[in-house]
Amino acid sequence: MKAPSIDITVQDKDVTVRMQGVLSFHHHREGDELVENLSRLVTDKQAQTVHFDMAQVDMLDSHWLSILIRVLRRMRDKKVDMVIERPSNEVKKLFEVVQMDRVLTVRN
Amino acid sequence: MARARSLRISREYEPPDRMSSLTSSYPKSVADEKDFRGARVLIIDDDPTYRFLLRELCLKLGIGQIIEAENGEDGVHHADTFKPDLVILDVVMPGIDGLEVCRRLRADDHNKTLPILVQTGLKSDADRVECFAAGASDVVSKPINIPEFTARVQTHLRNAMYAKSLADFRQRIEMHLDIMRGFIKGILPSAEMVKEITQRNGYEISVRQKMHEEVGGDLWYIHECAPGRILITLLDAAAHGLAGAISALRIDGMMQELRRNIDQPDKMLRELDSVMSHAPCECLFAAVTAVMLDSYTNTLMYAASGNPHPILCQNGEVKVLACGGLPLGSGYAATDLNIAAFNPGDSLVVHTDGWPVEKDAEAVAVIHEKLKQNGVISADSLVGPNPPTDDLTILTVRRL
Repeated sequence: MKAPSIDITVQDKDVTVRMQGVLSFHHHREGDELVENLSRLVTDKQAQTVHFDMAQVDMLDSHWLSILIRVLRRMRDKKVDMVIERPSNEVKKLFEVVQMDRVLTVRN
Repeated sequence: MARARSLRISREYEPPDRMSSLTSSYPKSVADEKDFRGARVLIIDDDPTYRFLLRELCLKLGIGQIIEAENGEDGVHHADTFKPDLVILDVVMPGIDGLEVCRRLRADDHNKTLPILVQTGLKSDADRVECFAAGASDVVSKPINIPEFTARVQTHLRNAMYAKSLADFRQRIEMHLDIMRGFIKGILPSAEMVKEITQRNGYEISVRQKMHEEVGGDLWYIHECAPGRILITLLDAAAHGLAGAISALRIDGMMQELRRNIDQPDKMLRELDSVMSHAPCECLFAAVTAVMLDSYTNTLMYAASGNPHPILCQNGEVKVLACGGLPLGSGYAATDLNIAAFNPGDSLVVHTDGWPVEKDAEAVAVIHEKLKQNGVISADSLVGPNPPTDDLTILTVRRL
């Protein structure tokens, strides 16, 4: 299965993670790396907010939902806000089931 | 404004041989193999001079065990007892010829992938094709070209040894998977236990499970909390295969103690969320549905986190019981308590997300259809014939 594309950009105190493609259990290594790299980056750059741009995500499974939750916990520990931006329709469906908007900001 | 800096994390799929750093028993790369001391070669040739030559060439390659047969019958017998990694076989021999030896060897399932290097003085293309048709892996001409012959022997031995190490590795993994399946079977409620609890309390349960891989992360359990009150839990760990099974077993262990002292399903899920989120491993997540049925008050109390919504069939109507939130393990799971009437004749369907229904509306439509056809709903009638794309558990409970 083709690996997803994950680009991280930093501007001032904002970190943006742009994700594209299918995010599934097969890409668990990319998920683990994302959690660790993002953790280090927000500390190094003293970031205040992490934005996840999910407009180009074709599919997100329960494993990657748990990746997002791991990131959320780490960001909360560091007092950094986390925002989901422009979730694709597939992502929106999953977020509705798990009521993601109860724990973090989701902007359409 | 500081210029945006970009850090790209994109990784192409990596070939599996990177895993060799994780386990020394993982099969080595084919191209590296130079050590043939462990290899076993059988030479079948009626000409003693040729047998001697071939033996010397094999010894020069460092091949550890070499035996010879001077005719086809002996060759077939030795193949069965010696279990060679490579057979070097002459075609023209008295008695049964090399092609017949080939056919007999291939007829045995154990020799389906055995490399058979046929050496023949027969020159035509048709002869060579006949050798392959009989089951030869490779054909070399007689008189042999020594460098070419030794290169072919090395190649076949490398491939054979790699295939063998893959087969051994697979066997070990199968054994571990079998053990894991045993653990899971030991956790799941037995048919006798389910029958005893449900009959005593006035319910009928049907469950179907289909794992996406050899083992999976779905578990369910039934527990009698008090006379007339039973708890059913359905757990879907956020991983597949072996990782899913290990997570599920671990989370079920955490739930054991909580089940014993439960009075409301939502409290149990909140406690479980707290325990899981404080576990040393930050990767422990699961979708869980907990349903408590009370046959004295004809009610069901339910709470869920991350699983698809339960579906209630009542008085000919099929409706979704909306509930749920983030999977447990986040520390943020909001698990509200919900209560509904559950009277004699009512049925409840709970399932994990492996059931291939796009939305609740589709699930309702499917259940409606089955009710019309059969009058009652059961897990067997809901599970389709296709292999699941994710672990699937469907459980139906009917109040008798």
